[in-house]
Amino acid sequence: VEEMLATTDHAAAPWHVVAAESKHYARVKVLELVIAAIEDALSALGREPVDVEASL
Amino acid sequence: VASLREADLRLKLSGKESQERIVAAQRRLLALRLQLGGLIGGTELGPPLCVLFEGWDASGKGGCIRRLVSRLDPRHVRVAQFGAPTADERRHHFLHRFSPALPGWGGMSVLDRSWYGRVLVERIEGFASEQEWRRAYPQIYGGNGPRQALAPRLRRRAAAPVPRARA
Repeated sequence: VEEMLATTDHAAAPWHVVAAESKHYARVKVLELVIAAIEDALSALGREPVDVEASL
Repeated sequence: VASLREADLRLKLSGKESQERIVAAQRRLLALRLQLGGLIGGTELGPPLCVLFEGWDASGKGGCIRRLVSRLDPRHVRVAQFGAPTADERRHHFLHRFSPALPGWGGMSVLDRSWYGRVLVERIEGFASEQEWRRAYPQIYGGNGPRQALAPRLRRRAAAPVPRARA
């Protein structure tokens, strides 16, 4: 597994290891990682992530 | 973090706090997902989003995925599970069966296990020969671009001091 992570981790497709001994922690972490990744990708394209309260 | 060794297995959250953060995060994700699809904040399609999970059996992938997608419009996300390849799929290249699950520009998909299984479960269980899983690496990360980008990282890893004990 370590070899796979080290070999295939890529700027365009990064791995995130989520500690999952606590399912509550893991579920929150996954959601927050995905959100951060989207916001970073939008910023990289020069776009502003939407404001949640104003848009939903 | 891209190493199991760096994972802190003591991390935990109470059910109550996690529930609050999940609800807030799901709302945020819903808005971002609509933005990527060009439905709010302008009509420009965002980049595609592909979230893929690898993990031991019973490590909680399914529960994470359910919470990741449960508040999204089901038309806006595709969830695909990949088990062992069928006899028919085995007649094709190992990446062949995954392409229908990939998101288009502005799309989103969530993969429960993936092509990385070629160098994990298929390697360990002996479904892929050594020659097969070794050549899978460059087939996964493409031409020589990623390999060059990875070289400094791999060198750093090799030069790192003795890893500290796993938590």
